[in-house]
Amino acid sequence: MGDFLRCVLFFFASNLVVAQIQFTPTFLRSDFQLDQWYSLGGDDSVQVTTFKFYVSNVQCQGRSISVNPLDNVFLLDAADSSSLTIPTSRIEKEADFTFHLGMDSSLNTCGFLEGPFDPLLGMYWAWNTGYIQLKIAGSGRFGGVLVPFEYHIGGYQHPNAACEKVGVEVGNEPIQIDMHRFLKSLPYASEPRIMHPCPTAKRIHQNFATCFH
Amino acid sequence: MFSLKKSILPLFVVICVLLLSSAWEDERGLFYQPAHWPKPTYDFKNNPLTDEKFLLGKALFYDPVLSVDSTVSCASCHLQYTAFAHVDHALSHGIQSRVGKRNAPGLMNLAWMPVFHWDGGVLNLNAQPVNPITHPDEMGSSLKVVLAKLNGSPVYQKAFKEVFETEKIETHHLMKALAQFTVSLVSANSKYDKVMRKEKGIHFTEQEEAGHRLFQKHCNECHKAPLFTTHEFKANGIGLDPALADFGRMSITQKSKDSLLFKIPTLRNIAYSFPYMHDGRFAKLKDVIQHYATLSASKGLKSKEFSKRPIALNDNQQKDLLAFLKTLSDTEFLFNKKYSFYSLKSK
Repeated sequence: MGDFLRCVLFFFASNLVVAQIQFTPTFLRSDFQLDQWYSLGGDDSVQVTTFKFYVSNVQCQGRSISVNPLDNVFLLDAADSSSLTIPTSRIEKEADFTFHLGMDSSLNTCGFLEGPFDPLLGMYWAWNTGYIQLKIAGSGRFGGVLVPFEYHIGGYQHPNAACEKVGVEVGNEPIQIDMHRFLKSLPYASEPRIMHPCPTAKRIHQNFATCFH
Repeated sequence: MFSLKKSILPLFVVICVLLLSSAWEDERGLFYQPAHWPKPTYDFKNNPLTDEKFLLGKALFYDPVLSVDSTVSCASCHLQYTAFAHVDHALSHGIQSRVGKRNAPGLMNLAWMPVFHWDGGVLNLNAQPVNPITHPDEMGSSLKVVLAKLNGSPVYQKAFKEVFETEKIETHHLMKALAQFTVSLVSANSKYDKVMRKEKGIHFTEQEEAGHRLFQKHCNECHKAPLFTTHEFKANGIGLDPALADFGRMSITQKSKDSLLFKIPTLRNIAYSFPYMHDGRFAKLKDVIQHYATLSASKGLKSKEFSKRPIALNDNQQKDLLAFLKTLSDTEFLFNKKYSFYSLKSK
């Protein structure tokens, strides 16, 4: 009986690893850094000073990594490298992950103010209950002209809800965030500042969701 | 001897009634559910009420420590004796005499309120204090500053440690403590309530009764009993104040159809919570009644209640309605020491 149990445990252990889900922002295959200037081609370049976003409802092979949805919400902040790693219990090798980029309406309005929900983190919208799902700010030089930009992307109501489902197949590799692709997509010239839910904000968030692989 | 017994008996009865009444008061506890009221929307499971947390929340409510320069408390704009509204000021003022854009509403029966603020921008009572604390025209502070002040206060450190078993005061501790107090503000013992409960010897006067009938015909659709609000958003026909440029609900939903819609306020204790409307435009209740009574459909109203069914009341009917509205005053609530000033620092 003891041998049998050991065999069973060995079988599962060989298919499970103690794992974390690592997010790595990259810019053209290099690690992306805050405050560093990056060329977008031609005379255009950008520097990002703030970059943080919410991830929720993380699932591995279709199963939530947490029983309580409130425990399955994470604020990833480029200024805090430890926040880019989501701790999980054992997960399967060669796993498929899905997650929500942002939070759905129930999480936005739950009134839970602990951990990633703490308004102290600067992501809470007091004037209109809910959370900024993606905050990115910095400066750009476009044709020699310096343009500050600031995007507070949020909202949970149709049609401008900033919550996208993202699926990645990474196994034990970090999830790459393609910052080159994302930074090239931002509307610096037409709308350098967005602070409320709107179609452009929704589009920015949708573009951001295509940058994970 | 017999005559003595006879003379003592009424006194004995009065004492018994007082004792029973007092016991009833205590049995209601911090929060109570009035009979025939709907189920509260507040999630008590997430913040179970305790005497200690209620007192901590009450102390915080009355403590100007929450404002950046420690000059303004929640009670500065929400005074108990005026139904926790801000009288004498059309628009409420905060630190350094800064004036905001809106009239601070009364606070009562918040456990049944699904949305907060005149524009419904706040959806959870636990999170609501973030707004006044951080608004530059109100308390002008930040959570970081407030938490640093509280964590640096031996009195609050001790109090939070006792009730939340925490060494470090965090946002959710502060918000839950405040909500313990505000969610407990139940007003359901006005003359109207007593008449509805058919309490012995309590009746409407003829004028109040006439006013009640007018109310049911003209006002009840929006100011529905027992809460005297449906918590919906309506245009009340007062129009835009260009200086304030406050478009109400539209600022939250971004939808033009919501322009100039504001949340329907409760009418409980309305005689005490002057001035009226979101911008405090009317100083007296009779002015509000006159506004509605003379409102015509030609003012570009967006509220179907008024455009389809204009209210036409003559002078006497307006007085009757006013008499009824005064029956919604709950003096037990307004002067209940349970809600009065409290400080941990004097303990």
